[in-house]
Amino acid sequence: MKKPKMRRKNSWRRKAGKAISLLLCFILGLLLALQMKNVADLKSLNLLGNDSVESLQEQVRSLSVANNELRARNASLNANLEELVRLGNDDNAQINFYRQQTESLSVFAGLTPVKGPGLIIDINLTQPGANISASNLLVIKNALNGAGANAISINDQRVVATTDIANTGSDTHPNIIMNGTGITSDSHYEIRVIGEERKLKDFVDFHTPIWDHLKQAGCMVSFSFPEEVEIPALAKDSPAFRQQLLEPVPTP
Amino acid sequence: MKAKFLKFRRKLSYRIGEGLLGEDRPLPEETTVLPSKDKWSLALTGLILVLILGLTVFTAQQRLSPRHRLTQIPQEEINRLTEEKDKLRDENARLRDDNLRLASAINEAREENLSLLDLSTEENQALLQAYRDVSYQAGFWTYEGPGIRVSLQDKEGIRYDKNTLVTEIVHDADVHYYVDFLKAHEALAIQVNGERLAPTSPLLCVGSSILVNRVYHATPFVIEAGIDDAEALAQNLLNSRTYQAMVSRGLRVTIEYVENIKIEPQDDLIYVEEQVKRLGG
Repeated sequence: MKKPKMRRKNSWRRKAGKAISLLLCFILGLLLALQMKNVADLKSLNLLGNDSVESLQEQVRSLSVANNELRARNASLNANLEELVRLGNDDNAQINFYRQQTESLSVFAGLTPVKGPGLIIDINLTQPGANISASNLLVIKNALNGAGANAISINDQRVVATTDIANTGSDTHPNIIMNGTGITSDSHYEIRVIGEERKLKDFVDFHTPIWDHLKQAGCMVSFSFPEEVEIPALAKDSPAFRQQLLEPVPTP
Repeated sequence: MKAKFLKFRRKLSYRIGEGLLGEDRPLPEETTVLPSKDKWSLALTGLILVLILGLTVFTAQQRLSPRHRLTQIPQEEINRLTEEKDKLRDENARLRDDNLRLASAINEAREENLSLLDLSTEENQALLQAYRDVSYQAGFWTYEGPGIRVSLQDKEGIRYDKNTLVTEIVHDADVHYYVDFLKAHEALAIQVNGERLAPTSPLLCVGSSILVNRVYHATPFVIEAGIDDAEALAQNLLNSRTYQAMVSRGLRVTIEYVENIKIEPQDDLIYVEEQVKRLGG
């Protein structure tokens, strides 16, 4: 008599158990979905493993700096334009203006010898087997530019805007050319630099890997910081001295 | 021990409805539960489950609430910064237009003045020639003609954190490689991100910016050069081992030949003035 009753009870319990487990699964799934949505939201805001706020702040900062710089640059151009307009037909004023412009642009372009406080790097190659390549000199020149050098020369060749330094010759007879002119030396390379002493001292201290590399190649490197370093101008007959030879012919 | 475990398992199976543990066997004699006790047991189980659920929901709410606040605050900050950035970008575009307009006006005024200059004397003729020569050497002229454009960008999708590899970022040396290559092939005019290169122009990468002359420019780094035989040189660059190595590092490098590229003249008179002053000019 008891058996059917027990079976009914067991069936009811099974149903209840299934319902509870279903409910549990549902709630668990809901929580999981909520958590995933939360993570997705955070990802979209770049708060997880990203720095959107920081990146935006950086963009705003750099745009502000760029705009301030452009404003200053435009003000300077405006002043220059006003001066040109003011010169007008006054021949004397024009001649004075172009004379002064020629002088300052000549200094800027490296067409005038200059002197000032700086650094002399002497790379001695007298040890047997010592060698240096154009890429070594390029690395030094580029690092000096980054260190704020105002004028540079290597073995009396002035660095200008279009200066190239390259290897030529063969493996047995390597040559280095700069400004289209041979600067190869068996004994030493002298790099003359004009710039702020503090910056140049930092440059020497900071670039020890370059000096170590040269020492490994058998070179002896020495530095001096004279109060006056003379740097020659780019020679007018240098292949790097480029002139605008094509002049437009005025139409009659 | 094993018998005890089996007994406990069966009791549990019975309490939560057997089906859950896949057991459908009748209970042993000693675990027979009376109907009234059965109800109490089920109610107790239900209560415990409700309590556990309540606790879970409460804990989740406690954890989600501050995170929700965390998402709200940066969102407001992001909106504010985006708005500010858009304004600055518009202003930047306007200032750049002004800059180009002024540079072009200066060129016109200069040419006009020079055309009015009395060239009847040899002295004036020599001065004009000297002025043209130094202007050319100093980069105060516009190049228009065949050229090459190289664009360099860091690997896509990097997070700039401790997992970022050094090789995935563009460095000074990468920019120098192209600039030096172009100089070695007698480029007539070079600019990096719109800045005309001068004799001692620094090219210094600082984070995602590059310092050219005296101004930091954001990535991508674009090197443009006016050069003869640009088409063949662009192909040489594409075939170079250095280019292949950069690509295999994941850097985004594009090299293109441009039939008619325009390199603007040096327009940063502040930089020019600073350099001249430092050299005693």
